[in-house]
Amino acid sequence: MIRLDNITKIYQTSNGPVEALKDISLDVKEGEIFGIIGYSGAGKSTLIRLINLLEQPTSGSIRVHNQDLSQLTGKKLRRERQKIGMIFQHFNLLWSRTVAENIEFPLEIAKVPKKVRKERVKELITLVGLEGRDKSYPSQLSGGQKQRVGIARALANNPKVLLCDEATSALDPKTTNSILKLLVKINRNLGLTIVLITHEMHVIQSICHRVGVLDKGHIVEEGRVKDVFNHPKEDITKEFVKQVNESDEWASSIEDILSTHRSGKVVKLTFNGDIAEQPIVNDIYRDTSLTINIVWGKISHTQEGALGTLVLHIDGDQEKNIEKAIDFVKSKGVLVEVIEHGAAIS
Amino acid sequence: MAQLFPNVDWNAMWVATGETLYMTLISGVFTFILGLLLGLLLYVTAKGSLYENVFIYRIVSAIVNIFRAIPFIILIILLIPLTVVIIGTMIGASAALPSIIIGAAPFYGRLVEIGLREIDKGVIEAAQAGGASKWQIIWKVLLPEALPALLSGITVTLIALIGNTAMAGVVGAGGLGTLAFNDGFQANQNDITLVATIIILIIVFIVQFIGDIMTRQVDKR
Repeated sequence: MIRLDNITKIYQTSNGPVEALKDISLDVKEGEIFGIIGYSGAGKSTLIRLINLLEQPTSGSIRVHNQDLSQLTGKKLRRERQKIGMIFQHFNLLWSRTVAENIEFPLEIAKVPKKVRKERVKELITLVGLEGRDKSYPSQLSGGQKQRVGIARALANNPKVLLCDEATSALDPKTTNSILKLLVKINRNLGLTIVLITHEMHVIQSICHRVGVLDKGHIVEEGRVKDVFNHPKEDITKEFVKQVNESDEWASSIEDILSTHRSGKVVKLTFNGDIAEQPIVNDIYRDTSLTINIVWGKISHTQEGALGTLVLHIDGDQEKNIEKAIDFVKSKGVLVEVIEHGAAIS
Repeated sequence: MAQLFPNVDWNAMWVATGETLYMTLISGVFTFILGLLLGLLLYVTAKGSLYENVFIYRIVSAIVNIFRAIPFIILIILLIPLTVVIIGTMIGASAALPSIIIGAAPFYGRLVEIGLREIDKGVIEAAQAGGASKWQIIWKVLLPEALPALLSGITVTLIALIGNTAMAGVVGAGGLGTLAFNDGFQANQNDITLVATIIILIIVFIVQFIGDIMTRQVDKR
């Protein structure tokens, strides 16, 4: 669907050339939500702007719908851009136009007849849940509503691709989630391929199928979100994963338990998918004489279902029984890690 | 009235008021068009803009600066040959128009440029991402988004321009300026000067009032 091959972007500045992107190759599949995460200055904005050629690559090729965009100019490029929607961190709405007129804008650009435009605007307003606000001006809307207008505008010409440039970074957590839900909805219902850039791992975790980690102009790690979460390889990826795992939060309570309770074991269980819904703790409790103390727990929702993390302190008179319980949990397909003293903070 | 302003010939006063309004209106329209073009040209040829062209930008910018720097009274004299070519005479209300327009348009042009620069680059980028052409960006993004600035700018310019119509009166343009200078000041009839001043003030207030209302109407920020 979207294919970047050996993309390099060099900016000429007064301090000499700056290499913003180095030899980037990416392949985003149709219908996929692909996330690119990186800190500011990593080159995310440049990378996403290359996809609709708002930025010209210094070398390399960009193919969208099997069309080599880097070869296009003028009218042909503008027509291809109409098939690629884009939403922005600061929404970038025209404040002189109402909600309906903002959504109509790309349709005017594409010279769609007026009657068709009005119909389409109505559909889009319903799609993004802004019924009744069509005559409002952007200044009268909340951030979340503005982004909904942005999304409706981006979808006006029925694009196959949606680019999201930090689309939720200016929103509060609750609004962020409602916008993410809307993105998933249009991804599923319209079969839209979405490429998003963000610095928030929460966004990647909630809605992306695959993720690329961008660091200093390089993609340092790439893969399915679940795999990257469970086995981050690079240090920078581990930092991002930590953002959502909140391991710092429970690390201190585990240290407390390990130092006060000399016996027993602290284990971290990681559940994937429907195992998260089985009463495993209850089973251990019933079948053995062990005491189980829940230290910390969390269930996060990803595109591939629930991802549960549970930290337990298991204690009993016999070491053997504890081992047995751990084996039992493992046999259920749960990832088990025994946490030793001092190892929690990693 | 007759006792308060013994020397005022009201017929002459209304004729002069008409001439001032005529000069203001015609030169206002041309200043608006010319200034808009100059401002747009400055904006689009500036560095990083739609039609970046350092050469054209510098030339237009220099011309604008020079004409803004020349005192209006001197500009009138400098432009006499041009006025004679265009209007056919150097006396009367119409003869004042070229110098008033050429004096005001560069000023308005700068205000237009500033107004356009205020527009968030993000909305232009959004339009580009939507496949808009440069002309579509100018018509559908730049001008509508800058409209409040364009209107408040033309209000300020019109008021400066009314002042210039009065000054043009000194060199025989007609209007309230001529009346105040010739019949009022030089003939030592201060009541004429006073009445002419009051009428000019009223015109200025009305222009400001209408300008403010229109600016507020279109400003949806």
